[in-house]
Amino acid sequence: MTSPNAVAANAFGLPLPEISTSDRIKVLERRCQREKAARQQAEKFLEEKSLELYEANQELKKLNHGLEQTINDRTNDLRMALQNIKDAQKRTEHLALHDTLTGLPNRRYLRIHLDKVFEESRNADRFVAILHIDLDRFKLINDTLGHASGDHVLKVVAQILNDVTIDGDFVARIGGDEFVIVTSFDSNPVHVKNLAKQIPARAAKPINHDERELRIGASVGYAYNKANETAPDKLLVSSDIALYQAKDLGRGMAQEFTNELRVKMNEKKALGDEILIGLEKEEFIPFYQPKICAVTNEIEGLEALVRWQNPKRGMLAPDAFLSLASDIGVLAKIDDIVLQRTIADFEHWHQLGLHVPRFSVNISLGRLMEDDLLERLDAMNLPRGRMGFEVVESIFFDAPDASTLKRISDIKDRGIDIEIDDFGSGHASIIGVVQLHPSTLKIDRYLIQDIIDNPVQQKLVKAIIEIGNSLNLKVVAEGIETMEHAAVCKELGCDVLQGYFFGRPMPCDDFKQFLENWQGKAFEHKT
Amino acid sequence: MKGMVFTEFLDFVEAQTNYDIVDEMIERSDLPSGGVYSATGKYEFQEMASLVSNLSKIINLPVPELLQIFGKHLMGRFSQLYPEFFVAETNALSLLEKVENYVHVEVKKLYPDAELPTLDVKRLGPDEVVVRYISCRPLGDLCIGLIEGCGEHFGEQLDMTIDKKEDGLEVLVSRQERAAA
Repeated sequence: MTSPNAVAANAFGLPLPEISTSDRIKVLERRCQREKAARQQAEKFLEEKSLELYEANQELKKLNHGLEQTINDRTNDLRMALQNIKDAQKRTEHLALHDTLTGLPNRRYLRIHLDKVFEESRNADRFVAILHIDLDRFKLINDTLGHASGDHVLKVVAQILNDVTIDGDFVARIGGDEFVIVTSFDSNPVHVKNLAKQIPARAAKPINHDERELRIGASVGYAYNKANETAPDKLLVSSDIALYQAKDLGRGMAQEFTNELRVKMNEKKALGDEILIGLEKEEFIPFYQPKICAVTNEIEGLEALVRWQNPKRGMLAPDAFLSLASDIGVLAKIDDIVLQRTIADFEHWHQLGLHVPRFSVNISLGRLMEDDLLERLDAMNLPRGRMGFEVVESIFFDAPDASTLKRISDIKDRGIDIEIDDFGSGHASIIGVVQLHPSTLKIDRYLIQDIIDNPVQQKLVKAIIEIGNSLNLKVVAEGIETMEHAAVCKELGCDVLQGYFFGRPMPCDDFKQFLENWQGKAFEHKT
Repeated sequence: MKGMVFTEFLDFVEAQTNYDIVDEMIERSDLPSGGVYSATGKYEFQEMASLVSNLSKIINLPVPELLQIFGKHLMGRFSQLYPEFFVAETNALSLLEKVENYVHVEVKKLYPDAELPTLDVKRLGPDEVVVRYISCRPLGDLCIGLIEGCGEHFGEQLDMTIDKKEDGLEVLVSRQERAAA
C-alpha cells in the first residue's frame, strides 16, 4: 500500500495530505458500494439501450419489410406498365399495318411487304406476282342492304383468299372492296394462274347473311415478272390495269396483264383527262328525245340524254364515256349539269309557249343513293309534278331495302316521278319494282325490235302492258323505229311511244324546232 | 453534465492521489448521487463543482490550477477514446478550428442532450488563433487545460494570452517551436 503522505510524481506536483481514516474497512465498503451501484447504473442503462435498440431494430425490420413490399409493388406496377406500353405499341403497330374489319394486312403493310419480297426475289432471281382483286356488285350490296351485309361479305372474301393462298403468299385488303395477293415463284406461274381461276369461282358462290343469300363476284387482274426486271410500283400498276380490263370484260373474270392493255389503259386515261377538261369547258349537254301519246298523238314529254361534244372525237353518246366518268367520280356532276340544263330549257320553251307536259332524266342507283342528292335537288328550281327519274330496272336485283325505299319516297315528295327504264330486260324482282310505286314502266327496246313478226314478243309486251294497267302505271314503248312498231304498240295498248320514228335525241335548238313543227300535227300526219 | 467527465475525474484523482483522498472528497461533497457515476449517465454540474472544490481544499491546490491540470489530462483521454477526431489533423490549431463545427456536431449526434460550450475559433495567421470560449459554467480553466493538452498531443508548445470574460474566455493561442520530444 502506498503511503498517503508520499509526494508522488503526481500531476498536481504536491505532497498529498494524510487522511485520518477511523475505519478503513468502512471506506472500502463505501467504495465497493459505489462501484457496485455505478455498475448497476451502467447495466440498467445498457439494458435500456439494448431494449431501445431491439425495438428500433424491430421497427427497422418492419420499415424494411414495408419498404421491400413497396419496392416490390412498385416494381410490379412498373413491369405491368411497361408491359402495357409494349402491348399498346404492338396493338398500335398492328392497327397501323392491318385492316380492323378483316384482320388482313393493309395497304401500308403491302408496301413494306412488296419491298421485302422484291429484295428477296431479286437476290434469288425469282418472279414476283401481284393479283389485284375487286369485288363485283359490292357497292350495290353496301348501298342497298347496308354496311353490316357489306362487312360480312368482306370477311367472307378475306377468308376465301386465306383459304386459296399457300404459305408464303401475302393477302392484303387495300381499299373498300379491293384485295391484293403477292406471291413469288421460280419459273412456273401455275400457282398464280390457279389463284386467278379459283378466286372468281369461289367468290361467285352465294354468301348467306341475315337470312339472305348474297351474290357477289370477284374480278382478278394479275401481273408477274422477274423481280430484277420490274419494280413494286410498276407491277402493282400492271395488275391494276389487268383488273380494269377484267372488270370491263364482265363480272367474275380474271385477266393477265399484257403490254397491249397498258396502251389501252393509257388511252382511257387520256379520255378521262378529256372528260375533266370537258366538264370545265361545259362540253356535256342534254339531247332531247320526244315521247308521244299513243292516243292523242300529242307530245307527252321528253327524255333528256347526255351527249359530249368532244372537240377531237365529235359528238359522243353515253356509252363512250359514262362508265369512265363513273370511275373517275364525275358522273354526279354530269348528271347535275344535264338536269339543270334540261330544267332551264324546259322553262324556256314554256315561256315561248311551246308546250311540253313533262320531262325525264336518267339516274344511276349510285347517284340515287348519294348522301347529298336531296340537298342538291333542293337547290334546283324543280318543276314539281312535271319531271321523272328513269331508273334502270336491272339495278333492283332484289327487293329494295328500307333505305332505298325511304330515298325513293323523299324523291317523290319533291314532285319527281319514278320511271322504270328498260323494263323486261333485266332480272329484277317484279315485287321489288312494284314496291317502288313507279309512275311508269318503259318497255325495253329489245322487246319492241322484233315485235312485228314475233307473236311471242307481242304476247310478252301485251303481258307487261297488262301488268302496268293493273297497277295503274303508264306504259311507254321504247325503240319505236317504224310506223309498224308504232301501230302495233298502240294496238297492244301502250300509252306512250318513244323512238327514232318520232325523233332521234336532238340538241336544244333542234328540239325547239321539233316542238314548233309538231304543234297541232296528228299522229296520222306523221305517218 | 455527462457522466464520462465524472468518471474520468474520479479515475484521474485516484491515479494522481490515492483512494483515501477520493473517499474524503466524495464524503465531504455530500452528493445527491452519492458519488456513484457511470460514464453513460448524466449528472448535475453542481456535483462536479463540489468535488473540485473539496479536492482543492483537501490537497490545497487552487481550483483554477486543478481544473487546468484536469483539462490537460482530459484532452489526452479524448485522444485515446476518440482517435477519429485527431487522426485527420496535423496540428493543434487546426484541431481547435474543427471543434465547434465538427467535434461538437458529432457529439450532439451521439448525445442530443449534451450541453456543450461554444468554441469560436478565428485564424489570425499560420501559427495563431483566437479562441472565444463561451459557457454558462465557470469552466474556463478547464478549457485552458484542454488547449494545453491539445498542444501536447501534437507535440507543440502553445503560448496562451488569456482574457477572462463574463461569459467565458478569450484566448490568443500562438504556436511556438515544436516542443522537444
